[in-house]
Amino acid sequence: MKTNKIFIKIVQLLIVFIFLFIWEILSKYNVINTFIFSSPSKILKCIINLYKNNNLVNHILITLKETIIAFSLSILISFIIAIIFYEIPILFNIFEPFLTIINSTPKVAIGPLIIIIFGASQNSIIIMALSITLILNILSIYNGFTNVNKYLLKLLNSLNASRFQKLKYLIVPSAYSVIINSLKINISMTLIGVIMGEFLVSKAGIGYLIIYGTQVFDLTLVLSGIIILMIISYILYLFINIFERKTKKHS
Amino acid sequence: MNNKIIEIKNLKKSFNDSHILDNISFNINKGEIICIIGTSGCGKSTLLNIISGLDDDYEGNIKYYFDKNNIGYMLQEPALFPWLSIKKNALIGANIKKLNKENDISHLLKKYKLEEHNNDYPDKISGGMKQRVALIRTISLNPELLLLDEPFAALDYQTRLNIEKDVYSIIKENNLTAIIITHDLSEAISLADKVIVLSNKPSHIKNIYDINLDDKKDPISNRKDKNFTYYYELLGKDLDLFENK
Repeated sequence: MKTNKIFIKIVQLLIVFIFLFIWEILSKYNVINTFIFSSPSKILKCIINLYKNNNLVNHILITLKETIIAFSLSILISFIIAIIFYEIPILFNIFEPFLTIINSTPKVAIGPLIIIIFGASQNSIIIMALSITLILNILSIYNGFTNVNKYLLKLLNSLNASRFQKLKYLIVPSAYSVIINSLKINISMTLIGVIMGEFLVSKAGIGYLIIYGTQVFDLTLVLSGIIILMIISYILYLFINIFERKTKKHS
Repeated sequence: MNNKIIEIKNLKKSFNDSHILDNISFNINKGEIICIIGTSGCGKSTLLNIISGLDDDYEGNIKYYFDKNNIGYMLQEPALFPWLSIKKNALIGANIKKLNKENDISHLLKKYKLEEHNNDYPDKISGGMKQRVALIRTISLNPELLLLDEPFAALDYQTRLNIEKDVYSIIKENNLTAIIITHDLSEAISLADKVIVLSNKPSHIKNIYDINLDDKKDPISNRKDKNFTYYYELLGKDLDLFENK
């Protein structure tokens, strides 16, 4: 089992190295347009340069801070709303069509409106990220709450368990895997929302670097930003995995 | 008898224009084991839900001569929480009712050879063990009335006999009153003091039999009693299991 895991890791790393190697060779011999596609070595130099001269760490920290705030708010708000919907099902029936309609609206379209309402600040970026994740989150957590084992629910009813006891002993723990999956999807969705927000209003952050690179036609900078984002996204995903392992329930 | 604990009179239940229970009337005395038998879907579980208080949408009258909150309900499934250890599962009823039953449950887990699985999770133990945990969880609350809805249905025959024996001894040792729903005639005769036969839907009571075996010991030896076949044939005829000649 362990050898299998190591083998998979080696193959995954090999795929990355082969991809980077082919990309480097193709750009070195001008088989691909280096202005558009740049090359791994140029991107690496760009990232080192950003680190030395343009405070890359600060840009990363700003994007990370916005992502973590938006992510935490999204989980907290959606959890509370899902519990309210579970406790008062008629509220869910009333609001479900509105949630579906709002969720299907392209969020970029409401970006300018968010900026006008909340100003050209970090608040708008966080609201932008929330607008992408919140409704999906509410729906998936609520769905997890409603799909509980009917025998366990009947048992708690037969024991005259209070609403709080049902939530504590059954509803929330049984939605554990749904909540974890929702966290995994959410972290990357939040990052997408933050970057979209940074495209629109920011003066710092990885989204700002990408949009700046596009404006000055420095596509190496754009690709560097994208690669940094991929690394951030992967690290955040790893954090959720560690959280999952630490809190693993036998569900 | 004056030690009546439940009196059911003219109980009727309908659901979505479908008539499920029709004029059900019977009494239960303290310390009795009542088995209710009937064909699938005849409303046995509905009747149990009504008696337990989980379903209060019915016509008729049920009079409880004890605290109605003190009913223990064992379901068709062991209903163990997969994310809780065996001991925590056994303790959940006590935790919900805010009772300190730690010692009682430890003792029961030891008695039913589950002590070594205290910290295991339900997916690590057999079906019979799970049912024992469910039983410990139920009886640790000292219920006045125990309701068992086909508690042995999912078990293999040998485990089933062993669990029946455990349940029977627990009920008799603690002088509990129990209503057991079953499809199995031999299970009903070997466990019950009284068997109630329900008809097809809309269910009414076809017959109530007092089971008088010569020497009641445990469900396995009760099956060897000379009167066992007599009751088996009576109940079988009521349920149209034998061809009429």
